[in-house]
Order: sequence, then structure tokens, then C-alpha cells
Amino acid sequence: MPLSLHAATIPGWLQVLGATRKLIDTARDHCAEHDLPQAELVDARLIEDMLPLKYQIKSCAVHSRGAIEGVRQGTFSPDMTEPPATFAALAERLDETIAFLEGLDPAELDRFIGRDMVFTIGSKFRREFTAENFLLGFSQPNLYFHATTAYDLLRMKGVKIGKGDFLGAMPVKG
Amino acid sequence: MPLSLHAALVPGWLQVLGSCRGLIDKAEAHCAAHGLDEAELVETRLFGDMRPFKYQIKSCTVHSRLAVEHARSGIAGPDFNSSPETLAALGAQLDDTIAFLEALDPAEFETFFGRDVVFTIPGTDYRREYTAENFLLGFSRPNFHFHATTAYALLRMKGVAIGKVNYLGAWPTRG
Repeated sequence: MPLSLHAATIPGWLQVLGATRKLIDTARDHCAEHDLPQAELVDARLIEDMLPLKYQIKSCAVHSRGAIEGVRQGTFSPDMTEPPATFAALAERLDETIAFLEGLDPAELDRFIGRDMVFTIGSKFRREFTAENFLLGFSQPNLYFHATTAYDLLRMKGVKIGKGDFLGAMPVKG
Repeated sequence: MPLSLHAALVPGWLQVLGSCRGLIDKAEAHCAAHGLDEAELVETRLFGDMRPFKYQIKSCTVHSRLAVEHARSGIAGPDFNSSPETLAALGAQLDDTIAFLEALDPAEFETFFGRDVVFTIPGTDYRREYTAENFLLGFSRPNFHFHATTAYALLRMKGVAIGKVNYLGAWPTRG
């Protein structure tokens, strides 16, 4: 029994996006409880030259919703827009992303298979993929990378979370 | 045209396991260049009560190779083996895992569909039931990326010269 491209990607993406959405509320509550400014967490970094929490959260949207929109057009490039700068705006970004993914038609994703996809940065850097390899081998590890980094930043800052808060609603039976 | 369960999982695991193997080499080179004891990296943690680098790397094997073994037996649970203690031993464990995954038969994965996998934690009443495909896609896969990214994050935090491409590894580009 084979798997649709939708089944291979979207439920897993929604699982981690739902978990990340809850992490934002937990982070907001942590700030309220400890009388911390939001920016203390929203701008947190693992090391100075690494991008902050707000960028990690934005990238979860870029490598899920943005990836699907990219495949529809046949092209994807790095997103250079400013990340949302507050917990409320970050939460809204994820809510929109989750609603977008929930609204996808599995039949549309089936039609992606074998389609050409190109990833470009400016005019010099260009990599060609099939759409399914782009989603499974580029977008998906990027999504997990940024979602985990967001979790790691909050964990490092002492927010009370554990791995279950990253794994989210696991697809158990019944 | 649908995908096989093998195509949905194993190339992605191998891509990131290859990256993690490269991170071990980067960590060795960093220790040599800075005259650091390798325990400085092997034991490093993001936070006092979080697990160290060696555990994060071991868990990449647990949530790929051992996950497949759990799908075969239908019986799953946490791995209580201790983590390899040196960069060389961590590298060797990843090499074994990569060889194991490279040898898997895609046809075997097709037999996993619909099979029961029960995850229990000995000594507790924790019990979760999955189909094998949901266990691999919804439990093993996010766990795998979680531990691989956290291993990367630890080295990055310690100043090892790496960037996201060292996590993403060899992309499945055309040709």
C-alpha cells in the first residue's frame, strides 16, 4: 500500500506546527510569570551570529506553507521579509499557516509528483529538484530544523517545556 | 503516482545522518584546532537538566535504525543503553546506522502498513498504540530531527564553525 505525497508530509508538518504554536503561548506565559519583556525570548539566540527565535518561528511557515506555494509556481527562494516581532504576531503567522495546510487537497499534492522545481538564490545559485524531492529533502528538514531550534532556544532560556511539547499530538490509534 | 513508505523516510534519514556524521568530524577538527578536550563537546548541554551531545547523537540511531527494528517487532520503547563516550565511538555508531539503513529493502517497508506498534515504558503504565506507518512518520521522524538539530545546536552554541547547510546535508537534487 503506497503513500500519497500529502500523507507523507502534511500530517507531520501540522503536528510540529501545532506543537510550536503552543510553545508560543507557553513562552508568553513564562514572560508574564517572570516579569520578563517579550523581546528577551523573541530575540533570543543560541550564539550571537545565529538568527533569533522570531526568525526560527517565521521559518516554520516559510518551509511549510511557503514550500507548497513555491511548488505551485515551480520556484522557491529565501524569504527576506522581516519576521513578526511579538508573540501575538508570531502566533497569528502560525495560525494562518496551519489553516492553509489544513485546507490543502491531497489530490493537488499527488499532481506535484515529478514536476520541476528550482531553488534559486539571486542569479548565481540554482538547484533543480523534482517537487517531491524538494518537499521531502529540502523543505521538510528545514521545517524540523527551525522548529527544533525554536524549542531549543526556549529550553535554554529556562521555559518549562519537555520533548513532548515538541512532538505534539502523536498519531496514535483511536 | 504515490510514494513508497521507504521513499518517504529512508532517504531523508540518510541525508541528515550523513550530516551528523560530518558534524562529528567538524567537532574533532574544532577540538584539535583549539586544544580542547573532546569531553567539552561530547558532554555539552543547552541547559543544566537537558541531555548532552552524546545522547543527542545516540538518539539519531534510536529514532531511525531502532525505529525500523521496532516496526519489525511491533514492540517499541525507550532505549536505555548508555551513549558512546567519544567522538570516534559516536562516529562509528552513525556509520553502522547508515550502513543498516542503506541495506534496507523498500519492499519490506510495504509490509509495515497497518501493522501494530505498541510503545510502552517499562515500570510505568504508559502505553501508546500506533500503526507502523504512523509510528515511523509521526513518532520516529520528528524525534529523529529533534535530536539531530539539537546536536547541531549544541556545536553551534559552542562556536564550532558550522552553518545550516551542515545540517541539511546532500540535497536530493536532479542529476
